[in-house]
Amino acid sequence: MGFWNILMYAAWALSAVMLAWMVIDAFMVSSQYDEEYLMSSREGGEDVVHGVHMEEENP
Amino acid sequence: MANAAAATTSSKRITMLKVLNPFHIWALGVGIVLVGEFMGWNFTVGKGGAYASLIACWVIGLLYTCVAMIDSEVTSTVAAAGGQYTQAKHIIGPLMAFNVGLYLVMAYTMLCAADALVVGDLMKSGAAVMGFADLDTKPFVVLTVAFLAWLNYRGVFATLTLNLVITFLAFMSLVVLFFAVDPMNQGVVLQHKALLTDLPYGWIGVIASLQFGMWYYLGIEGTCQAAEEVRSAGRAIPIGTLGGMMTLLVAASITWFVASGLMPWQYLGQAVTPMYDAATLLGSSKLQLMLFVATAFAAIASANGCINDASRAWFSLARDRYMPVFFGAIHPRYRTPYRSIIFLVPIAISFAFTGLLDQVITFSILSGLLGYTFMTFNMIKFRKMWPLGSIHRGYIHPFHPLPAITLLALCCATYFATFLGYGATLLSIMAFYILASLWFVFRRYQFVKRADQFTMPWPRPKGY
Repeated sequence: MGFWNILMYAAWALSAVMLAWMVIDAFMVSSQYDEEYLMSSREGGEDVVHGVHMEEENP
Repeated sequence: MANAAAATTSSKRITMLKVLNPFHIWALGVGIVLVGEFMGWNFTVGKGGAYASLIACWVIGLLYTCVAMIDSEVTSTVAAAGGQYTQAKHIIGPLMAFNVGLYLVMAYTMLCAADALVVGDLMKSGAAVMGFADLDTKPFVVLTVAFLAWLNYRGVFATLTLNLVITFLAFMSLVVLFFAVDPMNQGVVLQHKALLTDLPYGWIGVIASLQFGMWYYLGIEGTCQAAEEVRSAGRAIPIGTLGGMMTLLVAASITWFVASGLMPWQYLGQAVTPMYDAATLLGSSKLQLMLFVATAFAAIASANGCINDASRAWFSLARDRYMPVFFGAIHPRYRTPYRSIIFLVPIAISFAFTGLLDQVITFSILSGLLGYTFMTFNMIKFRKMWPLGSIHRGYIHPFHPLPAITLLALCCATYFATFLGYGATLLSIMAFYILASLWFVFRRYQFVKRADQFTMPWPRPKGY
């Protein structure tokens, strides 16, 4: 088996490892944390200040 | 007491990490685009000759400058993941937002697939040069998507820092190539006088070239997707986006200047890797190797940015329940939209395995173009609903409404150009989005919690 054949098998193997790692980690996170917490983010995050009404800020 | 309860609830919310700076934004925008300078832009030459390509480079450059200015202003105010999707939701309404979100997901996922195909093809070319002719590209296509998805999964800072490094190196390779052709001395290496001809297909060729002119800049608007993860959106988004646009105008002009001075338009118009060919013509193996590596870097940076942007757009759609809310989760340790990242991996790989690079790219370009058209109406409505002085803006673009009107006119010209070359594809994509809209209105929107979509602390818009 030549270098390029080994490289192709290595690419398949490495891809499988990384994809499997992500899927397993995602399952572990789901089992360890509350779904409500995982999906509790709000648009812009918690410290959105850029939309503050200028008249309210400077009465 | 109420304040204490609110603080407790607030502390339990999960957020994305705000760790990015203007350089990361530059890397995200330029990283997605730069592969277009290494390949693809040259199809403009095939459509209308070398001069048509230069006209397309600058006319479409104007289109994207308008896009960058408009995006910078709106995003510096609507600093949320989802970028143009979130803008559309707040400024126009849910149906427009759904469509824009879908444009973004489709455009970036397909572009990611195309980039992975390019990496696979480069591996095949490299193997052929070293004497192995039958390299299967599929494992390298999958590896590219899997590795970049894994990187994106584990955190945005490392993802975009990698983009910063490889995008900068790819850009510098174009600068090195520019100086290698002795640009100040015409006739020594560059042969513009001999190679530049009149417009071979007249002005209709120039119009036709506009479609492929988008390759020079397609994706710079992706900077908006990082708005929720930058330390200061009002500063980082305008600096990163407009700095990226300037970089791309320089890169596009260098690219055209070098390639059109080395190759006749008949060859350049159909070359697969024109910049690598340019380095080959110079007879330097070091330059050849540099351009080979830079092309790979540019394709990887583009795929990396596309995974980042597509996942943020999909995540934002899910967070508002426009798509299954399951995908609106954030990883508690890495603070990334991890379920959206995983979900898009098989889709990108499926598109890549079709091998239809042409169709995939055309779908991506048209989805982008539909998004730019929306921006014109969005911008005009944004200034009407929240005039200057009513809310904070990190950046105010000049000459409003001229950029919006210019953008709309140039989008119309590009639709016509696309119709000339890919009429059937254009109509089928329009049909796809119309069907998706019908599904959203009659089926999906009943699941959306209307009030939960709008959580930005904005003042009531003027006239409402």
